[in-house]
Amino acid sequence: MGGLSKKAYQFTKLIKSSNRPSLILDGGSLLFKSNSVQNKLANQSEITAKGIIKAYNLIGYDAVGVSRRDLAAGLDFLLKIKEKSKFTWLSANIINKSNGHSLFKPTISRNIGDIKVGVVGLTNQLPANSKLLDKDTEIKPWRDALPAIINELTRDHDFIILLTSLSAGECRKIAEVYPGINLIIHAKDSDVGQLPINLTETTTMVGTGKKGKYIGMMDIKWYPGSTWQAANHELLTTKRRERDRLNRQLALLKDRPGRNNYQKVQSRLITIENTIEKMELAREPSAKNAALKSSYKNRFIAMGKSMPDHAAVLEVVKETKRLINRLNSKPTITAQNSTLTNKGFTGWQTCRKCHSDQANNWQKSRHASSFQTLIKKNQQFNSDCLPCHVTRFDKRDPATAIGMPSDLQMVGCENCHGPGASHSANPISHKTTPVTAKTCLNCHIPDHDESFNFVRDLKKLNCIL
Amino acid sequence: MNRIILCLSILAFLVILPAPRVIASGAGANEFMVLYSNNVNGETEPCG
Repeated sequence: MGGLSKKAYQFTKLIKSSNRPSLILDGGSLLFKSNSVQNKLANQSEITAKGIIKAYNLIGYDAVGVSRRDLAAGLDFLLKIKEKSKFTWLSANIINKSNGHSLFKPTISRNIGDIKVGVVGLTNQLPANSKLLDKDTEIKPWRDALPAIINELTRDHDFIILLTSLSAGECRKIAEVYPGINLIIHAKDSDVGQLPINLTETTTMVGTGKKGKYIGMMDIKWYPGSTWQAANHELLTTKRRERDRLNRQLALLKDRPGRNNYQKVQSRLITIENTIEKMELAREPSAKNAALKSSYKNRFIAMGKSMPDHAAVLEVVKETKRLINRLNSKPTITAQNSTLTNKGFTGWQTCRKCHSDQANNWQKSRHASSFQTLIKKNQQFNSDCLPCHVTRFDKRDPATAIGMPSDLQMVGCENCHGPGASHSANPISHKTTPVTAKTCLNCHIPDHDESFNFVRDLKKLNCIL
Repeated sequence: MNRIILCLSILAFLVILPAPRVIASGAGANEFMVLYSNNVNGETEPCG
């Protein structure tokens, strides 16, 4: 279920147990949960980001790709974070407009055995109206930023890795244009990992699932100038299928001369045939090792709860939580949420007056002690955790969960049945909301509860008598 | 003289003999490992 200290332990163990030299890389989207940080949560997010950097320094990462999400607290914050990072933040396309210089290092080089590895980073675009960059800074499209860099890297590197948060579609186009890129580590926002997919003969793409729940390990045997040993060559196969489809379409259109999109299809067919020709040419043996096939073995390792922790990183995580708890426990923050009648919620004690059997059963459940769970972990002021451990749940504004009145400091009746103030005042005219699986899935998502089953788990609560 | 030979023998044992172990382990100069992650999304540890 995630955890930097578990990840650190696994990396250390893998490096110790392997006799191969290694690189530790991160595709990006490291620091923040969303593409912009709410003002109320800015300080908490920044404390978390600093903790993550300390942990990554201890783990010994070589490089991390800058993603648009890493800019969520603004460019200045990331530039400050960069100064504290022992690893390199990579982006080849965040550029100062006036002098054309990159604000981050575009590439790093590492000699690993006989292989010279180059790593390059590419950042995905921000929305046009974003204010996260100042007016002198821009994120260039990859088509403008990559040519010079890849030309330089391919001259004297044997293996090139791209760290990027660009879309999978754009990664496919990059692989098509730059066969010199051999591995793309793709920071896609997905629950499941991207198993290695050979986009071309020379480029494979991989990525783990989101929220740090997995790490990836790729054992590579690379012959410079060779291609990947692979059964599927996805991109070329797709292009060939598309060509066949267009050919069939064209044949049909020939019999119907009145149709005016014949030329349109013909022109698309010519373009796709040119692309296929280029890709097939790229497959021709051109280097001394072209006849050899390089290979890899990829493995995802899930971070289970029972896995051991890396002691130093665990201490960093604990300290980060202590700082967040201290920050959010300030009366200026807690006072604003302490009104019991907030948004029509009334607390479980009011419900018990009429529904005592249900309330007694509920008291035996873990819902009743959900806030105590956070206290035990010293996270009772952490707005990342609180929304699923208190009665009033507001996904859009998690900061309002800090400092709830004590009657709402649990997953109470009103989490499932909706705000109860009106119902308690007039039970006949104000009915409560029916409970459905959707209600529970506000919190019991696979990230938090992989084994959730609505019918079975509802019976466990035993509220219905 | 015998001492010198003995010292050289010990040195040979310490320095030369371990070398083949690396070769025997199977790692070639073109083999390496990439450990990777992505989308940590600001998660330090699960909540509760």
